[in-house]
Amino acid sequence: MNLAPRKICRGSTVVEVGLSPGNVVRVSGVFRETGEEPWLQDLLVSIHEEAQRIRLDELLLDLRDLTYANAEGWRNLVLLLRLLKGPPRASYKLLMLTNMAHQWQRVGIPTLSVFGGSMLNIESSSTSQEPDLADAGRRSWKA
Amino acid sequence: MASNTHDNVAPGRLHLRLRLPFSWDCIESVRQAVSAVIAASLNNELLAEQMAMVASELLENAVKHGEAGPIELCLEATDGQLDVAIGNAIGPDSVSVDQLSARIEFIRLFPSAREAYLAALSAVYEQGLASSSSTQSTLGLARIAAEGECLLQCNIPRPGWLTVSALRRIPPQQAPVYPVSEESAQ
Repeated sequence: MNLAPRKICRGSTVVEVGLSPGNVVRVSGVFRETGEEPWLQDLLVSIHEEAQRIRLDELLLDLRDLTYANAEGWRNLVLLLRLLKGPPRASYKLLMLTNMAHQWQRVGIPTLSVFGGSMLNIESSSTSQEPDLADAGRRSWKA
Repeated sequence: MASNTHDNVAPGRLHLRLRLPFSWDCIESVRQAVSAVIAASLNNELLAEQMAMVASELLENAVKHGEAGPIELCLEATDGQLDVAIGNAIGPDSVSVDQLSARIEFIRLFPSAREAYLAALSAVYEQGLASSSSTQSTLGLARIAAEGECLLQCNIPRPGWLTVSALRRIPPQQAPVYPVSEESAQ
């Protein structure tokens, strides 16, 4: 089972859900929201619920082309980790694909491990180009 | 003798003052501009990205909590220190100044800025989907302190005007770059 494919564009942010091989959520552009209208929070909650419903083993969150996110962006990532760890504990694990060429990710992303624990794996690259998202996941969890 | 393109700015110093609209939409442009100015003048991409984030978060706070009106951004490098300051109008009965001071004090209570940032993220984690705007504002300031490695200050230089500053040391190897005449180079 795959996530239902959809694409959401809000301001300078683009979120693509259900990219091949079906369990990929790609966030790109610049995320700068006020928090007054928490559309990304709502979207992440719906993706989480969908992932639970279809019994995903793994969700790939691809942030490599997200060049900047404000503090509200960090809040959303932490909230997703909160959903992941439950209760109830999520049926899937989260693989976060990051790009160390972006300063905000290089400095901030490792902090998320504190909250994700064993449910979160972070794979880093220094570019936005990776040959195979599915392969990235397999490599990561085998390790 | 060293020369400088601006007569009122001493050699080796960066001084930029911008008057900005009270608009969320201009913040990303300002972030990129701050990054470009620091990268060019201080020859340090990492510092440029850090301080661009700092300026961006401070501007967001000004638009979120300030009174409508022009916002001033001042970027200054002097004596091995870099200062990003944002000034904005506040109402006569504004409670945001007290709240801001309390949040800065909260951050300073921790042995390190990183611990303060973790505490702010932990508050978001604990509160979950119900996390408050207060928690969000603290997160932005803690991010400035931790990721930006800045010391935060706020003051009211004149009635109805709030200035929030983020200061950090410039690493010694990144001394400001400025024009040098042939005479001084010899």
